[in-house]
Amino acid sequence: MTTLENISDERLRKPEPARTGPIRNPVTDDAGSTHGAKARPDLKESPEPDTWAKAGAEIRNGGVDYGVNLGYQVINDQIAKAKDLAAQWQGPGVASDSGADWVQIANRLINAYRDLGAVAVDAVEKVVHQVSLPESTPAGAPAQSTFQTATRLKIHARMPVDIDLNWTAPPVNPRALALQGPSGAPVLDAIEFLRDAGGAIVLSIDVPEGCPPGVYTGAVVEHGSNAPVGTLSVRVGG
Amino acid sequence: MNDSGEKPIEVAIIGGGCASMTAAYELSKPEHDGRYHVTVYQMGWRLGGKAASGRGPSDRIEEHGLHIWLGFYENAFRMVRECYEALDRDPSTHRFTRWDDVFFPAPHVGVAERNGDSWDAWTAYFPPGEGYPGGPMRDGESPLSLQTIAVRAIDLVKTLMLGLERARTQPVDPDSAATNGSALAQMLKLSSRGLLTSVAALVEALSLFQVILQTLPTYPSNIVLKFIETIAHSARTMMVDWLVKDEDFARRWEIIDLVLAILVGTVRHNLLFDPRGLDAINDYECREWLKMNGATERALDCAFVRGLYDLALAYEDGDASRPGLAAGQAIRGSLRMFFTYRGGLFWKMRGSMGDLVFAPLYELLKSRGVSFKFFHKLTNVGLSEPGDPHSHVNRLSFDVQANIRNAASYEPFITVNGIDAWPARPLYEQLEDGSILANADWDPEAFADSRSVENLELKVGADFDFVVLGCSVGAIPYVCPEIVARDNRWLEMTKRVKTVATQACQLWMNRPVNELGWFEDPVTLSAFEKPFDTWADMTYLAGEESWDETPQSIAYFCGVLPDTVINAHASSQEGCDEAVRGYAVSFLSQEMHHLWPGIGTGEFPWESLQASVDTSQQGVGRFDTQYWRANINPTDRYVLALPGSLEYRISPLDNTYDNMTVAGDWTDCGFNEGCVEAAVMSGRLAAHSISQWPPLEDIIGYDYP
Repeated sequence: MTTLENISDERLRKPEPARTGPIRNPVTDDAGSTHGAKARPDLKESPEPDTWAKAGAEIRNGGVDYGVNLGYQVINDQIAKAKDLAAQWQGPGVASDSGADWVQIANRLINAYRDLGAVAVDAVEKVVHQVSLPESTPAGAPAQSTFQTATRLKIHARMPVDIDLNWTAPPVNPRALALQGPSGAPVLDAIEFLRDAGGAIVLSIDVPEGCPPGVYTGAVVEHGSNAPVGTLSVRVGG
Repeated sequence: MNDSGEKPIEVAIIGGGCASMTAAYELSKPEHDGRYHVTVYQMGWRLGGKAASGRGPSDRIEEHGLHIWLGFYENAFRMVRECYEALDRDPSTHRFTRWDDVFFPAPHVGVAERNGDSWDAWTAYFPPGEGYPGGPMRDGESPLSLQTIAVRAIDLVKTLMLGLERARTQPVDPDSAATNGSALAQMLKLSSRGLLTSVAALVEALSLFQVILQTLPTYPSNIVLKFIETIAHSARTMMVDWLVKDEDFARRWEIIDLVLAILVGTVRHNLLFDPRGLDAINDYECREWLKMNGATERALDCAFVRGLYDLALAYEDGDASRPGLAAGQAIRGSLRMFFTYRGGLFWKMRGSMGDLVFAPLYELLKSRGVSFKFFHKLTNVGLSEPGDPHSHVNRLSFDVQANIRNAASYEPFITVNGIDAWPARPLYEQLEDGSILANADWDPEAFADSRSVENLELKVGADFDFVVLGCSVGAIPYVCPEIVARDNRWLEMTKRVKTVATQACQLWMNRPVNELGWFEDPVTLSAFEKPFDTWADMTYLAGEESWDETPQSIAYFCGVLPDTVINAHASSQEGCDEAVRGYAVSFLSQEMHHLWPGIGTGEFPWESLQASVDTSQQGVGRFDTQYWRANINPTDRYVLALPGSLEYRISPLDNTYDNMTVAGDWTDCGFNEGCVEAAVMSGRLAAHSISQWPPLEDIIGYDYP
């Protein structure tokens, strides 16, 4: 189980510690293991326990501020655009034609995501200042995705990793195609979708040591039919 | 020789508190295959350190103070679970065979709020958290990331706000409500102006903020900060205007106010991405940090916040006017306490911590071959010559406080109701000169006691290979004079990592608590009047003791003891004990009627106290049949987490002395606040530094938040 670093004939010494303090920030965590890389959850996935989700639903049914709806809508819109872009990347010939463009496209996508997100935040910020809702504001749920897919993540990586998993259709038995990365980088293919005891989908990704930084993207399809059900992007930090 | 035929590595563990016992537990695990032979050197007659307990008259439990475990003590619960599983006791002959025979959730928590000249008690029920502490975590998930906890905190705020929304929709006669001036009436009135619609908008905005929190790298932080500041400002505007007069609603808003301040500060100080995490703000005092992030004065002085300070005994030098908690650790502790607890927020034990935690550990460790040397008081930790490139401990010096008769080993337990229990005094009959010592009521735990029948010196290589220094930081200047004199880092640690003396009082009464005027559920209540700001109803323990007439109620009180009192009595134990007696008598007569109105104002009904020894005592003299103590020994003083002090702590992983590691809730152990969990984490780290086991990733909460 353990080895001592030691050693002189006279006495034993403790092994030199690999580190002497805690890792406080999961984003900068380089320790690997289950306490290692922390993925960004799917935006559609509710992190809330059932009771809280129920409470949230109650308020949504009671009347929702138009501006907040707008905020959600903008976020969803830009997610949809990201999906479209990702889908284009899967198109025939695109990936193989110009590897250098991949990085540009990925950067553009990230920038667009950031900018549109800021717009959403700004929109809501203005709304918060509103004291009352217009009478004509239609009640209803905010524009969120039409289905929920409970997904858990198991990541093995020794570097920071961001995950963006978007379902475009309810998955039954999904599998991920190999994720294409920056020019010259090997594909990421150690990806599995499993089901846990509760029926939730478990996404398992193994990012090998030495994996070049960059964005790795691919489609998620149904076993057998190969019908696309979503997209998966993995951003590997340096 | 161990099972592999090798000479085992000798580990000397100094002290028998939580951290030391954890290190012994880890190093003696069967998986090590006998690689380490552990010897525990303990001053006096019992294990437990600050959590030691003893059985007094009528086998009553006598504690150093109040010991309640919190539902996030994952490492501590895990060890206790494993200990009981390893003991594999027969349930037909043992009452305590599993961890959940020992612990039970205590979901009712109270705080006291001053109301003019009187005090109001406010109790809250905390529903069970998912799972049980110390049990398996969900595979692949870490519930401890700051983002996850922040999302849960926002859930709380939303729920509190939704509670107001629901109250608004209940059918209430607006006229009658307006007449009694309740907040509900004000809310109904204000709703006509649309302010409650703003509550709905705020809740939705908070929902969006939850989404943003999980995608924070995506958004410019200045916009996110502005966004959450806007939410906080809007909420506070409403709070000031229309909730200030209703206490129940105001308390909800106080919590909202505090959580919003934490969220604002989390974004402003970039705590989600700062490599130091919450430690980045440890130079701030907690209230100061909350205030700079928008918390109102009302919230900062609310009973909830005062209660957190009381539970952490966070008063520098025991001075109630000098509360002090490092902001990062305080926020970490609060978030872990309220948002990561499993099972119950609080857990109580069906007995004393000594009997139900340390006695089973002793039994298990003995079965694994761990040796225990009681009555061994450390006097020095000797270092290698200055200039040695491999600084190390080369000798350990002890005063042997008493010899065991016939050179036998000391058997530390008495039997109470079928379980091993620690006595409140040494079992003198096992000691040489035992009758003399008994007549003198000799207390080998008293730090001023200098009895020594032998000087013992252990040498590295011959008697030990590694040292786990597990005595508390308060004792370091006395037991490690050589290190403190030579090593400036240790000197600074002893100056900066401060401790506080405490006082405790236990009452056994012949009247049930509802006859005293308390009609709520059994509670653990804090934020009450000093000096005994914390009260716990421990009536359920009566059956564990051996009374002719079972007490109808049992109450534990505790709080800090100012250093000025100790100095005034020249650190005399007798003088300080007498001072505590005076405080307790005064407190019971002058303050307790606020919580127990059934006792009336004026003199405390001393006849309600159940005498265990001299039943003829009447009047205030009857108090002398109860139990109280001043915890002034350096080893008994509680460790503080003052702002600007945590960086001076030394980690168990530190390798300055290459054959010694430190252990205790005073070390830099990842949760730098005095508690059982910190001690257990530290003990696990100490074991790791020697054996590289357990893996650091297995020490829950050592890494983020």
